[in-house]
Amino acid sequence: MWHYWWKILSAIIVLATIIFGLGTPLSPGIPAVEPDRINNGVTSLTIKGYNTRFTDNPDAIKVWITNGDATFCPYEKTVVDDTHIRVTFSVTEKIADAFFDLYVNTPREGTMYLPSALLQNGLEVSLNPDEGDDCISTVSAAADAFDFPNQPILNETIRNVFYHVPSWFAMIFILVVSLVHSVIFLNKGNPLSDISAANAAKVGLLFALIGLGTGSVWARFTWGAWWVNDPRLNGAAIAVLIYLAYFVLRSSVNDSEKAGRLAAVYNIFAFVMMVLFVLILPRLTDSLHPGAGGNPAFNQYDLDDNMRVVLYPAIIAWFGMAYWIYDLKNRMEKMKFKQIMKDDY
Amino acid sequence: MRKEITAIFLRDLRMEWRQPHAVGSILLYIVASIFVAYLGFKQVVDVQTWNALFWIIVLFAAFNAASRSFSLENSGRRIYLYTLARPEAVILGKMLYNAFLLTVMVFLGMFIYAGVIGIAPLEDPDWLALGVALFLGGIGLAFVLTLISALAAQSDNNLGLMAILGLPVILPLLLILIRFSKNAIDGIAWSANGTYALQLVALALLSLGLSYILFPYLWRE
Repeated sequence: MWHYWWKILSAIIVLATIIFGLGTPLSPGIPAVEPDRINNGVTSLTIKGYNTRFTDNPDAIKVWITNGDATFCPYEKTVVDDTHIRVTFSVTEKIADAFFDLYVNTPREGTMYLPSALLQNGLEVSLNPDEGDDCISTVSAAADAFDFPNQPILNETIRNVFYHVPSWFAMIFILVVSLVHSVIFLNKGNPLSDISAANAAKVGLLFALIGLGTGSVWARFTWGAWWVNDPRLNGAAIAVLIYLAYFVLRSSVNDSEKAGRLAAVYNIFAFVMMVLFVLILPRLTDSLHPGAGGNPAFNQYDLDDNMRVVLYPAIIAWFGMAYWIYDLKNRMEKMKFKQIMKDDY
Repeated sequence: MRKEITAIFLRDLRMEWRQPHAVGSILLYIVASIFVAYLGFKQVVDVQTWNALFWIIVLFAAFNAASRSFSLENSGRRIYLYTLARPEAVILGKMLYNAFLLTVMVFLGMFIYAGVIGIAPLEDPDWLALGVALFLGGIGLAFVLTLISALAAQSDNNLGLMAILGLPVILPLLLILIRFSKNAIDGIAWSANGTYALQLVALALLSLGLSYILFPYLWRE
């Protein structure tokens, strides 16, 4: 009973990460503003809130836009409902950087921020700039709720980090298991090691496909395409190709001892090349993917503590699940192998 | 060890020299591919297309050349070699020979390619960087593909398996190579482009080391 505690533990943690990962609300944010352009002169905007309760204290809400040089306050502000505010700005100045960031501060939600929310249209030089910073407020929210950060482009898809990232970690982990068995096979020549290596590679392929699937869906929602030409993504595709080739090689040689030897050599060679490509190369070139080309990955400011609480156990639990699947498959295949051996002699 | 490597290198060179049709077939392969590309494209002006097309042609020629390095050895000759030389010497000799062959092929191919497809993109290239790219390209392709060809030679379906096994493994090298030589053709400064050369050298050395370690397991039967 007690020697499979890790199976129970990982199953419970995976269940918990699904419940907490999907059930925890996002913190309030402002995902959109309509229209996203601001004209010289008077412009009315509707700010959309997400998980916000603007009607709680409508008078305390502060709204301002800034482009770094100048800050503008709305001269009219109406709270429509919990998730909509209508504001009217009067911008009569053209400044070098025409992109404005939008800030909303409320006593309940703290400061919410939408970068590059507005683009200034037209060119007009004003005689009396009407900037003022009397509307800027730094009232911070009472941080009592357990929630996930509301990032501008990610929005709700930020939860995918709990499933996409662990699937790649689990893949690397189980492929290392495969590699170790390949090395053992080359040194000892025990056919059971070869079976273990192949099964671990199969499970690794499964996790690679999960990672590709979750990543593809995520890319569609954040970058706008199912697939982009990016070193990290190409590396993932190459990893899948390598392990498909590994299975072709194993099955194309009839002599199982020789097939195992060829496959083990290829496994080691290809693994090193793949790790080089997936982990190292994207860091040297530009990439959309987090963790490359100056893009933030997790472990930095944009992954907050609430997410770590879910992500780190999730990674451990996925390791456990991957090893469990591999273990089941491995025991079955080894039994089959021993059965064949018994039948032969 | 060094004597064994040189002996194998010279043996392969002599074998190639005695059967000129073998080298000729690779050269013909390149020329035919370039001619097909010419029929399809006429002249290519765009640098990116010009560069990528060249490396794709070279890639398939390299597959062709490398796949011969072990499939030519019939099993009797293989056993003879096995008794004479250490496996490490065999793989290093073969790799060096392939590197030599492919580097010559790449440079020759570049001349023919530029002549047929057009020299319009070569307006103001960094000649030194382009030369380094061709040189490292030939060596890198040869180093990675030699072990793969040793693998494929032991299976029953040699050429098909060579492509399946080799393509995913060669892709990292090829991507760096294409970017490096495009930058060289664009005349980008060495200070910005040099990292790619270092990456190519690192990849070549890595595959050299891995082949050195892994090949003895393939060789004993």
